[in-house]
Amino acid sequence: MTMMTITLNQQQQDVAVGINLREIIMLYELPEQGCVFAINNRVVPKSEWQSTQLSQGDAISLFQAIAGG
Amino acid sequence: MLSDQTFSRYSRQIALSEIGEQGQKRLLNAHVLIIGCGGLGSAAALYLAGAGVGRMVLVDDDTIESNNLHRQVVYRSKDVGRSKTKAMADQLTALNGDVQLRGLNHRLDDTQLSMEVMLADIVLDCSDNIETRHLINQVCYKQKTPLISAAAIGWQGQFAVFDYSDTNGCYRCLYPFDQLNHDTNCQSMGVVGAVVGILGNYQALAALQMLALDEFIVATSQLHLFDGKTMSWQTVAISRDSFCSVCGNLDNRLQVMDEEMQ
Repeated sequence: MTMMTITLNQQQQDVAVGINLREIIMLYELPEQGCVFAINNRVVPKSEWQSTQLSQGDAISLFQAIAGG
Repeated sequence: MLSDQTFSRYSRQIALSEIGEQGQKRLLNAHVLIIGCGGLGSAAALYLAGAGVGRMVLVDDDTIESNNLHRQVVYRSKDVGRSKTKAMADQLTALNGDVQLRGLNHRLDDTQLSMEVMLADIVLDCSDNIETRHLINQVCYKQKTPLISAAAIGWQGQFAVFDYSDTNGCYRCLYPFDQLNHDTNCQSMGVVGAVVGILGNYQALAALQMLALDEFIVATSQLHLFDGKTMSWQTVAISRDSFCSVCGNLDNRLQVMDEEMQ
């Protein structure tokens, strides 16, 4: 399997070429409830997780929604 | 023409070339709806009253508790037990008697909120729960009224401006869920007063841009994430979700509704 390097919350990770965001979330058991994922500082809507393929060097960041005021 | 007294009062912001007398007049005629009179609302409302915003409607159903005072700096110790909207209106009037204030001391339903949004030039979401945030976004989207949203918890803050132009994402595009991961509210997590103040000041600043200059200079549909420990900001672009139940394509929205009903 050909691998590539991405970063996940600033940690380098080697993943399979062609992997999509949904697979990444499952692979690393990332929390989904109340969470938002961005690739290269652009939020990826949930409806596009499956169709969003990662590329070499992509930076994924995840953050929690907050609502306090 | 502004009176000499008015000109003098606001002279230090009229001196800004982008604002000038024209911008000050716009501010004096502006109408802002502030939903939530906690830490965000405290900071935002004080600066907007100072700047001379003509009319403000304050919405909150709460009364002041002593554990609010470390961050809700518009209130005084003697205000504990009073209605937030009344106490805030008193303080804002003391700061600037020219501002017309109206307090609504209860939660607004869909219809009341729509009416209030209709009257406003701009809406500040200073609320403390995601249900209210989604409702405000939905109403503002329908009326295409600019929404300035912020939230804070612990050492973190988030800020975004939504102008609902065609290609920009809305609040629900960003957060397409009705519940948060865990109890992310001020009661269970704690919150740093200065952090929530920074976010409220961001809201006031964005509102001043729109009201005085008639446009946002700050980029819209960008989520600004503040880390109060490193004191640094990260910005991510909020993409439009074509399946968003608020602003997505109609066919997609119907499909989402079908799936939810099944």
